[in-house]
Amino acid sequence: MSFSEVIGGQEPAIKVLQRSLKEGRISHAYLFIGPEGVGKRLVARILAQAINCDLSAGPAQAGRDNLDACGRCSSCRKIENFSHPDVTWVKPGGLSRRIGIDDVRNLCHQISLKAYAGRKKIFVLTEADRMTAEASNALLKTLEEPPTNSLLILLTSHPASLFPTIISRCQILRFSPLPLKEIKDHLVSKYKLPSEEAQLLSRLSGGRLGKALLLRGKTAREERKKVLDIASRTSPTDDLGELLRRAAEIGKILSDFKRRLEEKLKKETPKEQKEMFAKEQIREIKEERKAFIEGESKKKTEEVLDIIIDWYRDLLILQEGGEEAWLINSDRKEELQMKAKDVSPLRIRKNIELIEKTKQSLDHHVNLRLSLEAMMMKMQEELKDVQNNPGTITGKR
Amino acid sequence: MSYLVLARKWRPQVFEEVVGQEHVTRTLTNAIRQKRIAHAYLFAGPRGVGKTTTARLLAKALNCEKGPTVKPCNRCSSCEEIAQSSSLDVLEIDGASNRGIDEIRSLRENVKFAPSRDRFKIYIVDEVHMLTTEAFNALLKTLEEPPEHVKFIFATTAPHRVLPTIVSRCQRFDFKRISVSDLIERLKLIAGEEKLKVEEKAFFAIARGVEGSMRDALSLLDQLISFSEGTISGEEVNAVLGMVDEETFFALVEAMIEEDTLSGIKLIDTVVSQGRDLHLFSTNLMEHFRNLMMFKVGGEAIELVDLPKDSLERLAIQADHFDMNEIEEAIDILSRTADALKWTESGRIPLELAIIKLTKMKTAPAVAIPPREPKKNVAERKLAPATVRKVVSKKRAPEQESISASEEVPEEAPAENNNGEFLSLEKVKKEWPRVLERIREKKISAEAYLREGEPTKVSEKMLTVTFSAEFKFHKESIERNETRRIIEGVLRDVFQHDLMLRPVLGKVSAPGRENTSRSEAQSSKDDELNKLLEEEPLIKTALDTFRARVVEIKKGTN
Repeated sequence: MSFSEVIGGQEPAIKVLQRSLKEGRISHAYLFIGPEGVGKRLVARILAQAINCDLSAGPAQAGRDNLDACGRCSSCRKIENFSHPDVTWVKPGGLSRRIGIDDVRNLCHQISLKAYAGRKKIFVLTEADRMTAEASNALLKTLEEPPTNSLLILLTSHPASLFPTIISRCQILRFSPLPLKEIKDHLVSKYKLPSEEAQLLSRLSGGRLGKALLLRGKTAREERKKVLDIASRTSPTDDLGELLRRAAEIGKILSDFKRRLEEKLKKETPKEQKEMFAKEQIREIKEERKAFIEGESKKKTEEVLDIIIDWYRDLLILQEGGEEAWLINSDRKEELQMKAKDVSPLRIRKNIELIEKTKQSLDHHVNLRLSLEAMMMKMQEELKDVQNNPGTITGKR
Repeated sequence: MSYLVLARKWRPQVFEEVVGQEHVTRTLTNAIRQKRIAHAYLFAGPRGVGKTTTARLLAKALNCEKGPTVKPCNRCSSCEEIAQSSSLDVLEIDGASNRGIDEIRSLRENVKFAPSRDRFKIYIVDEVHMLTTEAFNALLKTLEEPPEHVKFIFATTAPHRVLPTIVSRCQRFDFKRISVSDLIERLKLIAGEEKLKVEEKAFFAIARGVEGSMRDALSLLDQLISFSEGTISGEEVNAVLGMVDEETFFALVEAMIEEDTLSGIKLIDTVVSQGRDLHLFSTNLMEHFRNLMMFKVGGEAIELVDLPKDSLERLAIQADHFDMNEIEEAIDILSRTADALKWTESGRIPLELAIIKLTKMKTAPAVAIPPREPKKNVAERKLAPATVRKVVSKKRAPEQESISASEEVPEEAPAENNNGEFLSLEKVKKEWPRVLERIREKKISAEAYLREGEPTKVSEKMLTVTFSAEFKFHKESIERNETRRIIEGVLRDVFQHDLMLRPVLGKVSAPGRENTSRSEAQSSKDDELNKLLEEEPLIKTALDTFRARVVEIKKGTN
């Protein structure tokens, strides 16, 4: 694969890389910043391929890098299959999903060795923000002045959790959310989706191809429907039982997800392997696994809450007189329009804030069920307030 | 030979090249001259300001063949080896990866041995804050009384994480962030040497975007070389930094002034789809309001706004549309948004929410943006005080004078009405009862509020009405859009001239108005009553529901 085949939308980043290749100005460290699923890994891979491509007789001899990857030579293919000896991918390891100091020490050692087959030793750190504090610090010196003929590529979707000392040592390339049209076209042409569905998925994806592909699955679609039904049904007349039941419904979506994940992990560790471990090790592995599942569940909870936020956001947009083309949930236009007429904008704003707050509280290890129930109840109280006593919250936050 | 990034290529090789850290380099060079070199130094400071560089320079200065010198020759084998970090006697240790007690123990073992060739054995420990507590403690004895030939230089970005017992054994130097002007100067020098074409504005944008870090600035410049074709422009700097250009901020605030929520949302859409850094966007927008605030404060504060002149003029105009409370509220909303943006994967929704809130800040006076032409007028007026103040302060005039100078608004030509006739303050005063009468016909409450003010100044576009401090409430009521529009409408009818109403608090000259004494006493009482009433939930609800105001209070019989 070559740069020109990357789905449209990342031209600025690619342009910089290609020009740097052409002018022989490839830096020793890059940081790719951008949301999940917009092509960071892909571009990192192509860059690695381009630098180490075999079909390079011309420019390479002049001490220059290649301009692009051919995708056919053995070097390119090896890189694509993660089997190239000089291109190493460092991923968050263990079940706690962290890049630890040992990973980084190993990297620092490896990078000091001469390239085996390729022109440059290349290390790609996916999710660089998952580095522990120790790991980040241990990387600093190498990141600033690595041996000649080496290249570090760091990828992240959460630059705020990277140390400024790390960021300052890299050349930063920004990856933007993809234009929705590109995603739609891509879904239609490559995955043969009907145009309407592709349109909806592209809007739900927020410009992240990866997310659009995730949402394609049956479970994801059902989950979305359930959550939206809950969000759209909430009304001031609901009694407590009704509210608790809905909180429980959301809870169930999440516990189902957890269960599926557990099963999947169990399958991944065959029995024979288990017998090889000592008792302490097994306990350790179990702990790590638990931490991993917690982390994933947290992500999932955020996703579910985001669905509700998206819903309210659409209502707000309609109330402000926004165009239909701006809606995220384009499949529920009619419902949204009806609802937009009889809910007050203030209440929606309040509710979005409530959900955001719940999302943030997830980081403090709260009881998930309790916080969901509390959220539902508060959201409804808000509604009652607006109905009975509109003055009390006007203009106040 | 692989490409060397600018930040490494242009690492200073003599003390004079270290920018913005004169307080450190001067102390060090003096120490070298006077042969009072300490055995341990701690360099602390933010990233990319020259800690490691200075450490290496110091090592060179000490070990250069030409004796401890403030000007290392950079030619002898010691100097060269240090530059390539291959010297046997200058050991640069990465404190973050060699952080355990074992590494420190082996260091302690080696300290005993004399340097192999050079004068000193110098240990540079970078990122020293990452050493473990045990490692630090194992170092204490050695650090306090090392052999004569040993020097330690520690560098860290987090001095608070270095044990106090370590810090107390070192000479500590705090490196500062590099100022914008120092950054620009150095960037210009490098751009010149590298034969780069860079716009003046771009230098400015780079220096502003990197928070005083030279390494960040040079990384950015490196990136820009690959990014731009030909000359590097300010807009390209913004794109690479993920920053949104100033224009967008002005446009957003204009949307706020016009309470145009839709165009605000559209602007957010552009920002999001351009892939700009949304967290940065919200903090930069916050900064824009901070600048507006500086204009509100006026006088010397305006000098704290670090922007090119034409932007200052536009800021001055926008600042006129807000009062302090609104700016405060906007900053408040934005700071919470910036917080929320750290947590969410897609920043669009928190931003949209913030814009909806901002454009609906009820009290923002809905005055249309004045047409292009008069902009300059207002701007000059606003800018003038700053310059006046500068001159005054040079003369070391008493503080009093400078304040009055900065507050005084330069006179503008008296306004003319459409017939070319002068519209003077006297005329306005003369007509004032008629104005009040007309307003009364339209809205009783508007007249009630306005009556307490006194027209104090007329300019081409603006009528200033001054309220004494106790009528703050009245002044604020007049600032509401509705009331304001009515009054401005009447002014147009009476004077045949478009006038913007500018209620201000200040000293009212003389109680020239009829029944002033009565009404003043009365209304201050009313004011109190009003406040009391507004606290009352039932009345508050009624007020808010009908968007009403208390106009008259009658005593009940019970």
